[in-house]
Amino acid sequence: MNFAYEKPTTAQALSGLLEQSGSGASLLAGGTDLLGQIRGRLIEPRLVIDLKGIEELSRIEHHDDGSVTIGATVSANRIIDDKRLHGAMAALPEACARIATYAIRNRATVVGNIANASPCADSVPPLCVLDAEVELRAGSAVRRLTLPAFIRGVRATVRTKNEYVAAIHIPAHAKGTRSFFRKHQRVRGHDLALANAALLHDPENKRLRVAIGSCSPAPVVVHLDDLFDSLDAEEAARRCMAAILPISDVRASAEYRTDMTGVLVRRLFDDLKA
Amino acid sequence: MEYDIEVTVNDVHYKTRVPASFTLMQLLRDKLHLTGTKEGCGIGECGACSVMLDGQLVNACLVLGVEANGSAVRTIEGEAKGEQLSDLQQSFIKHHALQCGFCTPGMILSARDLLGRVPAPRDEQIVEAIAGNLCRCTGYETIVDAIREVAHGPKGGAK
Repeated sequence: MNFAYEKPTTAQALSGLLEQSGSGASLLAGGTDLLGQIRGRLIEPRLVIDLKGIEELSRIEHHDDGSVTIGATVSANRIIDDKRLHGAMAALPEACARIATYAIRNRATVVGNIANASPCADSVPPLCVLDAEVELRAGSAVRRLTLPAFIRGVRATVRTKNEYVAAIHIPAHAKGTRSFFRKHQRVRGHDLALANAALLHDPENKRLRVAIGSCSPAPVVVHLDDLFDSLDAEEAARRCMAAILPISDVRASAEYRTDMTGVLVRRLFDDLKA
Repeated sequence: MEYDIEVTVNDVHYKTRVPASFTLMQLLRDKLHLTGTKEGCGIGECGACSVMLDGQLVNACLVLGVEANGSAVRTIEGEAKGEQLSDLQQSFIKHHALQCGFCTPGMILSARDLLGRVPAPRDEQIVEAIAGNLCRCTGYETIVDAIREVAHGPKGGAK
């Protein structure tokens, strides 16, 4: 565990450090996942680059058109406290409130939650149904990817060693759009999700979709527009249960995760109809 | 690699040198010899190392010491004024809110943080605030009692 530490104050300096050190560098935002990985010797970086010195990465920006940009170092608690994230965006603060515990949420970032690509990341299902895009930067080169395109599998993303995730962009949604989040875990506050799911309902464009986490290597998004009029929760649950590829592990069996996915989807429909 | 850092802990300014891999907890305990902050799990699950960093409750095991450079930290050593125990400390004693005492520094820091954010918390808010602090002795009821009494007075507040 003998690594160097740098805290650049500009995006340019950050890109320079990434170019020099490449795959030997780890990016530090909240650190709640990274420090566990380093101390468990799952990774052995030569350089840890702290992103918290770069002011432009620390912002939540609400744009005039209703879209929102969340910078790389915005903590989960800042998302929960942002009163403007409601309606269409409501599933995101709801999911953030279910991440770990208060002290951890003071540090843990939404971008980190995504960039780590843990299959059970709670912010991922809401951001999937919201069609959020990840902004990857390398120097002056910028590309934007949807979450399903960004996350390739368990802790695997398409980020190259010279890139960093600068922000997440959530597009504006039609008036009246609402989103909901549900999570199933053994112990509230001390456990990862056995299954988590988000639902988006857009009455203007008759869009209906569900995203499911923790039950596949990468997030699963199920488009249910044809159920918009019937709001058939049983059929939606069946389709979602068929779309996932859960594993059995220390927390639950694949069969249980599948059943619970059905339960979560039915409850999301209850939330919608309530 | 080692780095020179400056940090203010409980209003005392320190200059020291730490490896980049040192956590804030190691900085507090091993460098500054402030051993009130406890290491339980070391991976952010037990809350025994809860401290305030620039006004925010954090797990000191999940923060690098170098990240705290230039910051103000409050630990359990800053809770009492000399020999005079704080209201929370006295209430924890009165309600038998500790047995082995290992979780107590973190519990009190979490409770202090809650009372700063929510002066008159409901029981569910107290429970939520200490959800990240594991106690294996008390069963938590007495801890909630102790925090409730500080927030609402001896007779105040819904049980």
